[in-house]
Amino acid sequence: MSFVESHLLTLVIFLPVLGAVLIALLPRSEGGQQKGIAFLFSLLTFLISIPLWTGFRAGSGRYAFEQRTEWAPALGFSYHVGLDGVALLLFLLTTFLGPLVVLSSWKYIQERVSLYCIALLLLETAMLGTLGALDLVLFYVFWEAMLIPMYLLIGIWGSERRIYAAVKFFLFTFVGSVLMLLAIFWLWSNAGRKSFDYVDLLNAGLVDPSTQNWLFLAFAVAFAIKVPVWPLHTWLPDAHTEAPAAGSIILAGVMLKMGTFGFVRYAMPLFPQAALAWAPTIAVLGVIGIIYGSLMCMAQTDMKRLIAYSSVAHLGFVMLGLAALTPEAVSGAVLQMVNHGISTGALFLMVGFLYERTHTRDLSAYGGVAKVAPAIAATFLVVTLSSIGLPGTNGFVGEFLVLIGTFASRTIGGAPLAVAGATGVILGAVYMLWMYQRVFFGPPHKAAEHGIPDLTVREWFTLAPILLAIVAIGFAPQPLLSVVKEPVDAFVQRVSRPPPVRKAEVER
Amino acid sequence: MDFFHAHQAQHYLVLGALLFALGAAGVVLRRNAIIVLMSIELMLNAVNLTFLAFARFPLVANSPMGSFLSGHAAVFFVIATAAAEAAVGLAIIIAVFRSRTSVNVDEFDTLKL
Amino acid sequence: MEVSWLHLVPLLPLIGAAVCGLVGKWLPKGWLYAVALASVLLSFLVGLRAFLGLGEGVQLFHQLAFNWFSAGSLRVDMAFTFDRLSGALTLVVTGVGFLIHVYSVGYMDEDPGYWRYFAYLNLFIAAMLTLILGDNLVAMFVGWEGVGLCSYLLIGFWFTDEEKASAGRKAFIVNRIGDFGFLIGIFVLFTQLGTVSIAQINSAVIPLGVASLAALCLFIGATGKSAQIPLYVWLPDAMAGPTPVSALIHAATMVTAGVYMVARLSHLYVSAPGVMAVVALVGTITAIWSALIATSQNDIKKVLAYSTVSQLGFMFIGVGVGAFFAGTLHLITHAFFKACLFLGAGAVIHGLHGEQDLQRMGGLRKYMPSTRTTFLIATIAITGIFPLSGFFSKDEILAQALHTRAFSFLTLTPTGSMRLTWLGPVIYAVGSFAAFLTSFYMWRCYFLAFSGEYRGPESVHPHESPPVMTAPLWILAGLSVLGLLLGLPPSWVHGTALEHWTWEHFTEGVFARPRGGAPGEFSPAVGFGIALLVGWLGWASSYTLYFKRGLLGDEMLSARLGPVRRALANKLYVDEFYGRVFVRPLWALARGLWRVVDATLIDGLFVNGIPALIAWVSAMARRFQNGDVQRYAAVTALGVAALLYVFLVRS
Repeated sequence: MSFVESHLLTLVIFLPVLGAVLIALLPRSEGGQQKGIAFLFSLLTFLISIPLWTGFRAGSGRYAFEQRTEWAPALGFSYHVGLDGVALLLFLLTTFLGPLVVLSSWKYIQERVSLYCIALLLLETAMLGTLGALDLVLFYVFWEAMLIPMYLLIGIWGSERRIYAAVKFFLFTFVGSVLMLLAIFWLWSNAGRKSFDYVDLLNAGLVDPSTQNWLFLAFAVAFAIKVPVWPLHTWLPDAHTEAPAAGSIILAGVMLKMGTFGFVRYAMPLFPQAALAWAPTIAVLGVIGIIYGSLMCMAQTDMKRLIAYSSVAHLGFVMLGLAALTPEAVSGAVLQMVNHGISTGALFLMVGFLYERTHTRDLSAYGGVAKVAPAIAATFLVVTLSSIGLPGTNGFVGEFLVLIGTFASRTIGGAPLAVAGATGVILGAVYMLWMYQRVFFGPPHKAAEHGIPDLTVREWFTLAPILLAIVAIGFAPQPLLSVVKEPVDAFVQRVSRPPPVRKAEVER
Repeated sequence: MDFFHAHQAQHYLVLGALLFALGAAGVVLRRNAIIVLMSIELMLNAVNLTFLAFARFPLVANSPMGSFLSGHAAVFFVIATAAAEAAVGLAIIIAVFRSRTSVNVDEFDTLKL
Repeated sequence: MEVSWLHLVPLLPLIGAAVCGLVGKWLPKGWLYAVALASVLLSFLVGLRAFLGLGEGVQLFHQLAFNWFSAGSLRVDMAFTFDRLSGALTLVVTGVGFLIHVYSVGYMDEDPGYWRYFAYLNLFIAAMLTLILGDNLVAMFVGWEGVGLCSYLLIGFWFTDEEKASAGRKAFIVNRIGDFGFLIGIFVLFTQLGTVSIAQINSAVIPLGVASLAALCLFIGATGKSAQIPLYVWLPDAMAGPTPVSALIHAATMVTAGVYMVARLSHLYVSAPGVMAVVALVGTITAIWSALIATSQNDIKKVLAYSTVSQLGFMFIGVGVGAFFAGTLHLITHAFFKACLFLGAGAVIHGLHGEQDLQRMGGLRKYMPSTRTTFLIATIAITGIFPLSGFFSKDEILAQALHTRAFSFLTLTPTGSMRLTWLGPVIYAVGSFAAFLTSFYMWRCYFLAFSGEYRGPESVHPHESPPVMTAPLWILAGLSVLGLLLGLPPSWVHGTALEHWTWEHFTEGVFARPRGGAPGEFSPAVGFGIALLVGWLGWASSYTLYFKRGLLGDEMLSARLGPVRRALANKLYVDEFYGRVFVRPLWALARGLWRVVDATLIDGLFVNGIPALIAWVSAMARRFQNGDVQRYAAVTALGVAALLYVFLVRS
């Protein structure tokens, strides 16, 4: 492979940092330049990530675009990156949303613009790195690196309670991560040859089940906080409500998936027996998340908080699918990760549009927006339908697969869980259509009384790719599903039928 | 040359301990900063006395370290340190006095949480 | 037979919808109409060509358009099957749909949102066709939800009115509850049979338990979509939408999806005779329940809405007793005369500039002759008077119910001995009473609207509708008459060319036979006789009460049956019941959970509580650091002493 090919992944991961450095070196001028550079670099990142998709050869059993450079051999970690199908999808989701996030905040962010752009770009790098890392230390570094830019985004450019929300977000997530770090250290010290490398650990044979339990819990708590799984979800509504629109988009669009990705890549395959034992619990928590999250949505008066709780509900589906441990359910779960990123990201984007115009998120201040701003109404409807999983939009296929896969799961006796989860289909329609009606239907009221400007060209450019993705994935999800087929099968195999426990333990 | 009379050293050690205790008490209990410094001097001099006592009445006869001059050498070190510390301490007290017009130790409590 | 053009049938209206929706606002009106109408017409023509191609050699056309998604052992294709049943319905949907499009050109002409309307209408046709032609349950579900979406969009078409928007939302959510059942049914079938393909399901041996569960769950979906008890409550509210929408969606096509589904999966249902009994019972109860309510409604559209619910009940009786052909025949004939009735009502409303209340109508026969005649024809058809189509379809259903053997081996309890052979006759009796009521309330509607003298305000000048609206009325009325050909019992036309036109003959082999065996041979004469009598009784009682006396008829009834009539006029308080038992508690639960669990328990106790605890502890510890250097020195000295003690004395 040529130099570019073999280092493509690294290039994509670190390109945003390059942009951040450039912005940092620029003289302090008006915001336009910095935003322009940020947009340019995020767009470039997306463009050079396209070859990752086209060049991806599914089914080889190894990681695509793998690159390994020695970093600290004595300590056992290296710079090892690579993608499998699941990581590829989330990777592309991140690069896809990157430029859109920058575009969405063009008008809204007016102070400390260079810091803002730097934070966005660093965040993008951190997320891409988390997805691509194949070494536990590298993974952990990127994982932690995600926290600071997000903390800044919420804390500096957020709304009234931003400090509280930012600190809550940081501490909550950090506590989980520290537990995970302990588990990583334990793995390293007991992995036979002292290595942090993911592939090595995967092939090293399993830890004995009782220790597995604790290690799994340590990892699982860290990821569960991120997803978020009920009852560790309370940081999310605050973070989303107080964050600026772009922060919410990137948070809902990508960062939450890091948690579910962590389950698929690390927590469950590394500790399969523990994962199998805990799977029913995770599934139940997923269902609780679906129902509880939906009910919470119905009680909200703040638009962003409502959508935040809807994220809890949607990711409940994902967790349910992952815990069901059938190929259909897990494929559906992975697809839902992508779908949720797109549709909930779009929801936050549009709420951001409304907020920029009316400066309120309170539902009671809205009414009749469809009459004065029909384009917003129409596009919001499409996104709403995507969120409730109407066939033809992207949300349906993922939800359907998760539910049917859970129903069919013998590993966890999923039929009652699937039935309970399917009520989420009803509840989703209830709260989303209720919100839609309160905001858009009826006579123009309060905020909309004197007219609301309809979508601008920039906003159309931001929305159009998302709408296209919603429809495209809705009609043709198969390319995405084929890409993840192999990692999903491997995942199901590994967790439902774990390889033997490490010899050293058995001999003892 | 029968200098090895441990119980003779006892007297000096007891004196040194008493002086040390007096000095420590003064450091902890006195309110005037200058008196605190004096108490510190007293403690140091007590230490000097103890060093000299052991220099004069060593515990081990015929030590491989040669002459019993380490005790005396230590005393010199301590005197020098005491002098330096007294100078610096008095300078600090004068500086604090300039801003607070008081040398009452109880009032110097800004190092709290 | 595999073909490659079948996908055009649903695709053409979809393209029409896309064009109308995306650029319709800026197209000249005529062009928009052309696109919308042409797409449906073309779809009809493709369907017609396919229909004519069905014959001895070709039982069905099939096309696998593309593999939609597959994962694990599940493979879902977007594929279409055009056989006798789905083919006939395709023609009905596209044909009646086309007529309604034409009608809408007149009806919606002055509405500023006309381009949206046609986009949604086209989208609806596309979705309905997907539902009908889908060759697997998931493809059918796509259409199922798609028509639900279009229903939402069209009912709430005039969305600046809060009530209308809520009606649309209610429709969607109640439908979704049904969809939940549908999904579970799909899941059961997939896990137990390993397939979602309708053809495979219809040819598999399905164990009783599996069949019953799946059939029941799917039927829950049908109660939602086809407005049966307990999920019918959205349909009357759906009258908030434009009348052509009510005609198309809530009379002729969408609501029949449930019946179609049961008929399509006839093999599944005959494998679950208990569920068939449930279906028939639900149909019966719904039929009588809504017929009763319809007698006391004053809004012309509401009368027709409840009438639709009732007629759907009849259709479910038909398929529930195993007479799938009868149920589906009624589906088709009902599409004709109900669409005619609704469009007629629309013409009346249009001609009265928005008036919908029967109490302010009357004497319209003088002002709207075309509307009146077509409405009359359709009314005769629905009340089941020979020789119009409704007679053969509705009364065939009741006759089949009377003579059915589908329940002959069912028992009330698993171990009991009482066989349910009496169920059929009971259904027949109740159904006949419902038929009487149908005749009664339909004639009441006709008389109050068209007979007597005009009771409305002076300012309103009733007038006939333009030809673009009356032409479809005539066509539909004609179809209501011609539909009799479909309904003729084969025994009557045995040997003649007409035999091939009868629906019963046409669909032979399409449906499965119920387990008890086909109904015994019976002469249709008796059944038809009773049916005629029932229909005539309804007409007669309505005539006496309303023809000359107009509204006095209502007053006489109220005098005799005051509270009953009031309850019926208030729809038997079902909405209020649902609100109190389900809707309000759910919202209260949501708010309560939020306050108690999220805010107080999780956030209050743990998330904010733990830091508060830590803060308290550190506040205590802080007291050690008070800035007193002497104190620090003393503590240090004590510490050193302790250490010395430990290391020197205790070592």
